[in-house]
Amino acid sequence: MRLHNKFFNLLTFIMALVPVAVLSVMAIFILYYSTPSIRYEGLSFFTTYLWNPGFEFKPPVSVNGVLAPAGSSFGLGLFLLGTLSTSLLAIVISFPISFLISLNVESYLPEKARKFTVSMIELFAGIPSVVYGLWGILVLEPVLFRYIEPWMSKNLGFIPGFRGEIYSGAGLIASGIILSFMIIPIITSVIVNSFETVPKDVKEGVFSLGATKWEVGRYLMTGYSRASTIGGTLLGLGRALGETMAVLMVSGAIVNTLPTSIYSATNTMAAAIASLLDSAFFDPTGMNIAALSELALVLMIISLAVNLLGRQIAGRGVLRGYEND
Amino acid sequence: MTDGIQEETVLIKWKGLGIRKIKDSMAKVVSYLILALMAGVLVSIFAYILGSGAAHATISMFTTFGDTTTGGLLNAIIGTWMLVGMGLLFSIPPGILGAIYIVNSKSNTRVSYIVKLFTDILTSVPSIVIGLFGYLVLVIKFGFGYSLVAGGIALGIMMLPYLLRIIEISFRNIPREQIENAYALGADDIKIASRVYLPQASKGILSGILLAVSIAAGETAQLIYTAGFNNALPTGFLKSQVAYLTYVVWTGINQPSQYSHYLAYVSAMILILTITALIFLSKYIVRRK
Amino acid sequence: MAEKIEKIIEIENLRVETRKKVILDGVYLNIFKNRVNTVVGPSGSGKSTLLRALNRLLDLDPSMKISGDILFDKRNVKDYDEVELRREIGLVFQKPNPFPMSVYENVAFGLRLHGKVRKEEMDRMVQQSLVDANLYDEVKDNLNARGDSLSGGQQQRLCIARALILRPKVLMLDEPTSALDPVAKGKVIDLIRTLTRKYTVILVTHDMNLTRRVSDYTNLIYNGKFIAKGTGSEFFESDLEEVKEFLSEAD
Repeated sequence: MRLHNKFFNLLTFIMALVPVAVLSVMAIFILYYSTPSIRYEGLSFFTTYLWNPGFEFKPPVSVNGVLAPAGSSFGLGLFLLGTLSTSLLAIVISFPISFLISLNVESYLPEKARKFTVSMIELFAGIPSVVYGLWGILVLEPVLFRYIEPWMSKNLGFIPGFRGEIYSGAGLIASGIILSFMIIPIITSVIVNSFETVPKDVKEGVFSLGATKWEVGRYLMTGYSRASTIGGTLLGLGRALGETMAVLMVSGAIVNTLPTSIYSATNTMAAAIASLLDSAFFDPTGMNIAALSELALVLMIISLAVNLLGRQIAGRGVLRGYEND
Repeated sequence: MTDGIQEETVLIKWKGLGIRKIKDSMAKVVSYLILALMAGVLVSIFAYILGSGAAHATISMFTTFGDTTTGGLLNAIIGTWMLVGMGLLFSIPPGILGAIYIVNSKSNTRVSYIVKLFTDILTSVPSIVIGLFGYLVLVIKFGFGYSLVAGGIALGIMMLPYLLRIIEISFRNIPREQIENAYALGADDIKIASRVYLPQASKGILSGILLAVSIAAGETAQLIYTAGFNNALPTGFLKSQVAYLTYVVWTGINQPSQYSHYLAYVSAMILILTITALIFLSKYIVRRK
Repeated sequence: MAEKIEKIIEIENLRVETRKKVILDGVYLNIFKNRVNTVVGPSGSGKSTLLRALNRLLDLDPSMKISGDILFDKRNVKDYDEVELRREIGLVFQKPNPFPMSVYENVAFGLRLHGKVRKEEMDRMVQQSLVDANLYDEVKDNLNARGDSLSGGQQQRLCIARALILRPKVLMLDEPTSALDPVAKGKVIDLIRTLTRKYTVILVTHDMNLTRRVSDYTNLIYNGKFIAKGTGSEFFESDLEEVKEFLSEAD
């Protein structure tokens, strides 16, 4: 009996270490595969925006001890810009919406409708990325192209960045909108969950001082639940940073052209990795793959940092916009 | 009772009651409007996807294999389930046993802290990074090739942190007395795990699995470079590619032929229906049973 | 003692019920201005609910059905705007519930809510409220300390100061001493006595010692029904069955 027990406990111990092992292995390998690119590009990886896979048909060159295609040069500037701009736009759209939805659920919505409403919002998180992409291409882009973007350009053109050529509905705005559908459930559920932990005393105390429902809700969000609000937003940001397929489908996925306005097509780090990887196979030097690995490494680090910070600030009970019953 | 203080505060108090009430009403109206907007968008997405899917669905799509430009979706449907099943195979044992370890360990809190930390970190790894890792290491370096195993591990990596977390919470929800009673009766750890933990938390575990499945079924980025695609069913666990529905959505819409688009619509429809059903099922299980 | 004592609140046939049970069953009660009006009764008799009916806090709970009339300054409370009403009738809860902010901010909270006040004005009013609540001397050197870092008794007085800053006409105290140690209790008791100079006090308690020491008018609520009332000693010498029973149990 004793032996069985010991064995079982050892087994559970080993199994518990699986996530640790997996993450470590992933990180190590990605780093390992990036090293040729790190050697080749050095700091210019971070300071240039062009991504040039190089010429296959010319003989490869050797730089800093590594082999690379002639004429190749890899810079993540464009993709980083795209990731940050689409994610930031998504946050700008999502935060007020999540704020208002949480406020509504907390202060105005009848108790009975609460579960239903929260489930409805969570459903947004369940829609697969490619389905959002599909809807984005078929429904959102035409609407943006024909109605919304021209209207914006005409009436809001005085705002910097809001005036520009509209080539298609794809681009920054479309990506930002689609991303916000994915992160609204995250931010909302973090805030709503934290509201549920507010002791009845505190709420009654604020009401007894003669506050309106709006004022009570506002105090809860900016005072009492400030950590959850900020943390939840960071978690949403983390999700947006790593999103791949939907953005790939509606961003225009351009390479080497800087965006000029919010109507421009764009690209993100995640989408770039997905779209460039298959052509990278054909590089016999492996440098293209290394560069993409480095891109993945940077993406992973940024995403990790934002997510961990968000989790730290918001407290641990969060799971991708789904509640735990 | 009127003294100096009373009077001037009356002045201060009366300022702005009307405005405050207006703000309150406006907040109420605007927030309801936003809610309605979100509901509208959700309905529109569902209506469009289900509508375009239903409009172009044919029986043959559900009964024949295809290659995203012709044929049907049967290989993709089966392939999706095979991949998800593989993912569960790789993530359930560590999920359950690891959760048991975390819940049991009182003395080894440093280890369980690290485990929890790494699990949290794992959830924030972007899916394409998992996909890239899967390609470079599983497909190429380990030589699995595009395969069920490679795709399954990639999905498993994504599902593991969710399962671990949800199962841990389910275990923690078991009333302490039950566990203490079992120990007091002289049961060993294995018996307690199998007779107390698992049965008591079965609702939560099942619900968690359904949730993880619903997420995995909709994933693409992990699979593009680990599972490949197959015009039929995979012939083995290794070195044989697998078809899956999200791939059809993505490639289908990007191809010029109308029929490819139809395949994309129908795949999207199947995905949304399945995933919504899984989500509701997972909630239902926790509420009833 | 023959002065005309004004009734500031008149409760007529107040009935509060949920679908499951009746909490208050036809209560008649008067609250007299600038006096300590005590409502006593065993726990669960609906005393706290009574207070919450007065400032319409019950309106927030959709499962509560309320009927009957409550007149505040001769006007039905339903005719007041509830925000207005809660300014005039302040409530201090049984368990101190300071907000997670500094002492100063706790007290200033209500002021910020209801209007714009200049900094010097606000400082003065915060100080005045803390003085009125017998707390100023103990916190004056550290107004920035967190509200929940104070002792239980201090927190309770902080909540009182928080309510007082709005200069309500009526201050309701729900079991203000139940969570306190004897020394803190004593301080609150002294405070209650001085409050009637400016405010009307409604005190809910099952502590008969406290009642003996501060109450001007005592009302007994039993099982949601109003049973008896009396001034000071009148109440304690009552012949009514329920009163005698209650008094013997309470002691």
